[in-house]
Amino acid sequence: MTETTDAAEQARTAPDSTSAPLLEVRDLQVEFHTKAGVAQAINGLNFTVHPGETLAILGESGSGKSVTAQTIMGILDMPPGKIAGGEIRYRGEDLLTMPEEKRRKLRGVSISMIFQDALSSLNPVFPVGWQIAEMFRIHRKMKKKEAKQEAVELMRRVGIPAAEKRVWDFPHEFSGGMRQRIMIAMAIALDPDLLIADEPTTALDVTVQAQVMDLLLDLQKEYNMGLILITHDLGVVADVADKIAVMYAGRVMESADVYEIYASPSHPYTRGLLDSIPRIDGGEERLKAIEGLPPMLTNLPAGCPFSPRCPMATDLCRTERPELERVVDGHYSACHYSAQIYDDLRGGAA
Amino acid sequence: MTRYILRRLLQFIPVILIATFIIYAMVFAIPGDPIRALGGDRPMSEAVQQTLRDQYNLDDPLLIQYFKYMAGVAVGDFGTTFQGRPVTDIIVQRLPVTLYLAFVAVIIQIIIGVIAGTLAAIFRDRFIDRLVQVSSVLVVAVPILAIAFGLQFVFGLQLGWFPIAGIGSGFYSYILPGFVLASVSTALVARLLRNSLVETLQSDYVRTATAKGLKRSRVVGRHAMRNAMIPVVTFIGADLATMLGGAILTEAIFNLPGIGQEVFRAIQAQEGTVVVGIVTLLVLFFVVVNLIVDIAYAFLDPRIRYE
Repeated sequence: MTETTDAAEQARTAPDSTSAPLLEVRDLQVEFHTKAGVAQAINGLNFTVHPGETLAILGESGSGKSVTAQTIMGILDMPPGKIAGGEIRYRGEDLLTMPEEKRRKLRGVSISMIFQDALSSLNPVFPVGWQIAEMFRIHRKMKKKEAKQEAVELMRRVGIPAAEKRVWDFPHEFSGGMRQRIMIAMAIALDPDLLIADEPTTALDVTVQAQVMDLLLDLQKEYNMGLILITHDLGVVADVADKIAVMYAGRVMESADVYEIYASPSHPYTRGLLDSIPRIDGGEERLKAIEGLPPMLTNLPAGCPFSPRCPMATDLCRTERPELERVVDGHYSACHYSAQIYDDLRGGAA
Repeated sequence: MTRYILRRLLQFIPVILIATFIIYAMVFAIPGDPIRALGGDRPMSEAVQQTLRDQYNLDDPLLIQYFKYMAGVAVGDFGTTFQGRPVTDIIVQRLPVTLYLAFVAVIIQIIIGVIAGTLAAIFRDRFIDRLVQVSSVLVVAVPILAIAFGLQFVFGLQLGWFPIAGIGSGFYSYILPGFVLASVSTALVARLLRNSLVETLQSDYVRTATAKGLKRSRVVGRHAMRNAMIPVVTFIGADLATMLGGAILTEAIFNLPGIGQEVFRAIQAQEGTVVVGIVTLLVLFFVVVNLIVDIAYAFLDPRIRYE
């Protein structure tokens, strides 16, 4: 415990990409063995999260966002899931080769997670206060009464009105927004270094979405957590993320800090995504959608997975898979033509 | 909740009236003259026969007979047998045997059913799961008589561990009949829990429990089990009431002097009062147990609320 606190104290400076990374995902590969064949959900995934930093992982359904989150947490259903290669380093230690007991003690304590659907993710037969207090009782060996007090305190902190009175209420007795606040309270209970939020606001009303997201960001600052925000919502990302990783067919297509991505997207897929955002000042009649569908994960194209849908695809793209390469410092793209796209954009902007 | 219980208690009245009337009518409809049957081969004078008929209201129409009988039941008088013995006496003497048997059966059902179901779910699709699935199908498919005789033969005659008839050896006498009575229910509990737990283990809240860094034993034993047991507890409760009725066969095979045996004898002897008395009691037991199960359901699943 003291060790992690010290490390966390040291990290309690502004988001800083030069400090030691909190989490490093290197060449991760995850497969699903199904009757239809082997689905390659994650194919060589790379990204890094630093203390206090917010990384948004952006992608369509089926791009491997949630599988990534579950693999980091170690809650992937295996089988059918199988980790075929790569490493996930938390403070330098590979989670994938760590003994299960050691890894379990990191879960919920150092790395915790918020799920999309709080109603199904909270246990229906236990009071919410009990579920929050369980964190303290199991990991901190607290007595029931003490743990309950901590739970009430946390419920208050995440903005649940009359927390003292509602601590023994059941999940179904709360509104969607309040339930997600309870999930958040449970996830931050033990002051984790890294929080993974898998579409935390997708299931909520639009008006509540902003409140919950604000709360999450407040807490992130307060606790100086690294945050991996998994979303398909480009609007949310622009407001809150430091860095963005755009995922497609289980790979990072492009990653850079948020301004860089919006200013000079250097991958045709990222450009397609950005063009598909409705603009309030837009003169165009129709939204630009990306043509076609994501590839079948059981039968990925030989070259770039985006090539069948890419307006710029050439024979090279269809035969050779581009690796994630530096465009400029801190900006990486997995496209054979990213340098060209980047220069064109810069040239056009200048 | 109190209002709900009161309403349910009121609903008992028509249920019991209808059930007892059906039983009464069926006994009434059995062909033959019970008084002549009572006499057997020996001749009985016309006067004696008439006295008995009057005493048991046998000359009244069905409805009148029924209401006279129910008026007695309402004040705790279940009538008397043709030998003049109060039916209440018989029940007091016979019921403990049946209750003891049902109790032993339920304990067996819970212990074996829950352990087998849990193991099958945890080791899903592995050997132990297949074993539980196959053996539970076997137990349900094989006639109860075969199971009973098999157990009597192996554990009673060959090994000599348990008595095969009567209640002379106290608790030991109830082991084999308990297994026989519990067999089908145990198999059903194992399958029900297995499926319920498999489903629960795939739920989002179990994933959350794992993500909280809880030990696997706690994730399964507390978070999953508490949910998976809800349908199982409901089944065991409802099954307990069925068991009392189903005890007839088991009691006959093992020669246990319970109410099942008694009701069987009374049907043959056309002793309507005994049949109706015991069946009324069973119906009452059934509805009360069902009410308790429904109330327990609300405690097990906080999402259920009764108005």
